[in-house]
Amino acid sequence: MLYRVKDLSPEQRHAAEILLGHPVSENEAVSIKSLDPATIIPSRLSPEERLAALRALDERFASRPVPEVSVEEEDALVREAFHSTRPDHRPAN
Amino acid sequence: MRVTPDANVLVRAHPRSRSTGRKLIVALIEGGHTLLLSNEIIVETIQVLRYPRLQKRFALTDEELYDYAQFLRQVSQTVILSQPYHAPLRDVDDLDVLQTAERGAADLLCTNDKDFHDDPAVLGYCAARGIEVCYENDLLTRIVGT
Repeated sequence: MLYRVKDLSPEQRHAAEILLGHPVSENEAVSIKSLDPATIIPSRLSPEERLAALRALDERFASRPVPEVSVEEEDALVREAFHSTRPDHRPAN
Repeated sequence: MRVTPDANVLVRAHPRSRSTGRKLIVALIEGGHTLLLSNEIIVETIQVLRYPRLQKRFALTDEELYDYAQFLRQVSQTVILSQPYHAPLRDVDDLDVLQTAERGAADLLCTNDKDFHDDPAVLGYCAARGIEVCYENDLLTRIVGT
C-alpha cells in the first residue's frame, strides 16, 4: 500500500522513518514492502561476477561475425515478432 | 534499484543488438542494480527471439539463445510466480511480468508496452505497490544521464 505521509500518525511516521533510514516530508508518500523469501531465488553471483558473466557472453557472441542491423530495422523486426507471438501486445513505437 | 525488465526490453538486450534495451541491461549490471526476472519472462524473451526472421537477421544460433537465457538466469534474482494472479490488465499475457515485479518487490517495472503507461488503473495498481512504471529510454537516461 502507498501511504501519504501527511495522513500518518506521528508514531507511524516515526516508524516509517526508522524503516526507511531517512526523514520523510509531508508531501511524500511511503510504501513498506514485505518479502517472502520462498518466492525469490537470489542470484548466486556477486556484482563483480555478474559483470564477468556479461563480458563472457559478449565474447561468446563476438566469436562470429556481427551482422549489420540498424536499430530501426531491429525495432521493426521485434514488433513483427511480438505481433506473431502476442497479437494483443501494444508496443510504444 | 530493484528492476523488472519486460520481455520487450530483453529481446533487444542480447550482445548483437545496438538498441537502448541492450545499453540499459549493460548499465543496470554495471551499476550493480538488481534484476528481477521470472522463468516466464525469460521463456517469452527466447520465444520472441526465435521468430524466424529475427533469429536469422541477427544470426542467432539455438546455442547462443540458450546461452543468453542462461545468462539472464545467472545475473538475476528469479521470482517464482503463482496462479491465479489478478490485476487490472487488458492483456492477460502481461500478468506474468506484473506479478514478477510485485512478488519481487521491484522498485521499477521497465516496459515499452503501452498498456502499462496509458491506463490510469494499471498505473494506480502499480503505484499502490510501490512500483514505478517506466520506458527503457527514460530509465537509461536516469541511470547514465544524457
